[in-house]
Amino acid sequence: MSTVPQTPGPMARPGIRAILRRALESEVGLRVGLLVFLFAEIVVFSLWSKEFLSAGNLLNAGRATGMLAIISVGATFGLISGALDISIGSVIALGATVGTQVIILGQPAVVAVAAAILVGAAAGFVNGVNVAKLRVNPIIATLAMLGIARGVAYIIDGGTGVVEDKMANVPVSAGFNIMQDDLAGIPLPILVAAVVMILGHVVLSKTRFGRYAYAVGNSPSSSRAVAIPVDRLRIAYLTLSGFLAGLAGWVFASMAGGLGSAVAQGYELTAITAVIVGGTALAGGRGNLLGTLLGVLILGVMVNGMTLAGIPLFYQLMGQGFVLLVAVALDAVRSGGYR
Amino acid sequence: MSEPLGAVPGRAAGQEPSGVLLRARELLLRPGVLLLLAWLAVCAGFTSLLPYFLTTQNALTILNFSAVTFVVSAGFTVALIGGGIDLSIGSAMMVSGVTAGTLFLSGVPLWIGLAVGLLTGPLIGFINGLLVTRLRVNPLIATLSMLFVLRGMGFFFAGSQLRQIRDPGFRFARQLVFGVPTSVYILAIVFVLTFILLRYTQLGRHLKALGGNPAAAAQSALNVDRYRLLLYTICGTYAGTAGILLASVLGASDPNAGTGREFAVATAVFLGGASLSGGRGSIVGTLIGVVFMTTVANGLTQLGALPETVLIVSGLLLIAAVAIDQRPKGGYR
Repeated sequence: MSTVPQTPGPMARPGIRAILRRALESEVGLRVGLLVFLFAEIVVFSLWSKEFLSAGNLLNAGRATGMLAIISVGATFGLISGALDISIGSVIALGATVGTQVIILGQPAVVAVAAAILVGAAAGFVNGVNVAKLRVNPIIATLAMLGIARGVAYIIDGGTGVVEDKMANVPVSAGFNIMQDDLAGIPLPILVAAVVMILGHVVLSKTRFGRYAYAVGNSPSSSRAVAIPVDRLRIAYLTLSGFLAGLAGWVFASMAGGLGSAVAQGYELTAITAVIVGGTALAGGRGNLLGTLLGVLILGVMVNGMTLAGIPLFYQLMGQGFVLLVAVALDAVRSGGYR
Repeated sequence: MSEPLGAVPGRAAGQEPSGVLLRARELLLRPGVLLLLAWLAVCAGFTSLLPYFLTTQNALTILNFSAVTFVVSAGFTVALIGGGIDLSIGSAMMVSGVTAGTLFLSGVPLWIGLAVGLLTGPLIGFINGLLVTRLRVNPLIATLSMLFVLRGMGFFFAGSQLRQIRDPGFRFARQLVFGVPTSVYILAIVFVLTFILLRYTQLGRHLKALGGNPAAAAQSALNVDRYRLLLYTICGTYAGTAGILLASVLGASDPNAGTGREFAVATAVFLGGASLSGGRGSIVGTLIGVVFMTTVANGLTQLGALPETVLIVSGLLLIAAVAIDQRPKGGYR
């Protein structure tokens, strides 16, 4: 592990970087830090706004954070395996649009869910094939999908992004608004997110499919050398990311009672922020879903708290940018930084 | 073309025809050549479909629409050649345009407003450079964070409303000189300056060395951090210029201007042959890339397609460009 360098020269100065690195090196240290930060956030916002700790607001915050949690699970798988998926926001919009249009065509809610998830998984699959077979850098491959998925969504709903008039004719009995309901007092989006989180955690930490993500992210060439099917796994991880983005899109549309193609712009950035805050390495090969859960909670509380406190959107954007910057600067400290 | 192709089987390997073939292949694989051929094909296609496509007026329209994207793409190309990447360009454009517009609207003389707006570009780039060289943040994420921060700052300066500026001086880019919009002249000037910077100056050669192999550049006593700082400052300068140009073309201070421009820029620049791994790229390729994208958008719009179709087409082109470009080198591992 990192002993303090003994050799003279520029490395000998045990600066703040070295101290920080030692504090952050252990997963425990990082998690304690995140928990302290989360707690501080909650204290600040509950002092700032009386409603913050009310049951109604917490459930609201949970609904909004649920979606973030779902996509962050996919982003964690992708990032650990070395693929930064920046098409998530557009794929959410595609899933939401397809789900909504299927309902407008008069199909039952089950078909809408299936269609949204399938189209999301298909987008992720295309990303994966482009990366694994055409050997396109993941950032560029998913950047292209960011344009393609949004464009397809626009074309499906005619470029208007307005569905309210058509959704008004859909009977409530169609069951599309199910995500507005509760089960045993808990909003359904929170339950869906919890299931996804738990399943994701088990898969990532206990199964071969999950463990291979670390191998692929750490060293694709070594993974190939020990006969790990790197290409197929890369396709699978990106397909999973798209699948979950499609699911999140449907949850979003169902919560809102139908959505058009203009939604969820930039959501991938929030998800990536949450994942990196949670300690997943930007370069791949390190991270876990417990960290991601903490990152999601930190960002969810931040967004909800700032909205409740009446902070204008542009300060929220700035706040999110600063959090991402701090998280990545800390990641740089942990992993030696950009050379 | 058909003669050497047909001639190959009859001769022994390594003879003259394969040399011709090799040279033809080499020429085709030069940055921009394939793209230029594709552009000509697209132009031919649109000309046969649209009666008004091949007119001077439409050509000027395409160049006019290319100007803003080209200026910012030139900066993006320089950043990529130097081994960096800057995702904050769209937001930096917006901030510089909004700064100039807001200053002008609050009564500051036009040229001071424009100058201050222009200067926000290098300032933003300098901050990006500090993040990368001092905090050692990965440039992709450093500039992604700046994207948020700058967008917030733009809204802070200008509010969330678009404000029209009808002053003809502010709308300089719309004026015609010898029948050609000013923005086209600016496109030409930026092209020539960047061409000279990259090909004929020491700075340009050093940036290429830095992007091609940073470790080797450091070994040969190149001050990598200082050049990186300079690289991001230069890229920011381009973004600032493009932002002023866009504000002038729009004739407005618009806090949503430039948002999402990164996608068009990245597509055009990667089409033009630049590489994410640094050291490669050419301003000629980028110019062809930008004009190609604008031509496709122009033609599709005239054909009556939804404007968003362009998103799909650019996405597909981006994949194709990078996949073809990476093939000979093995691509992403």
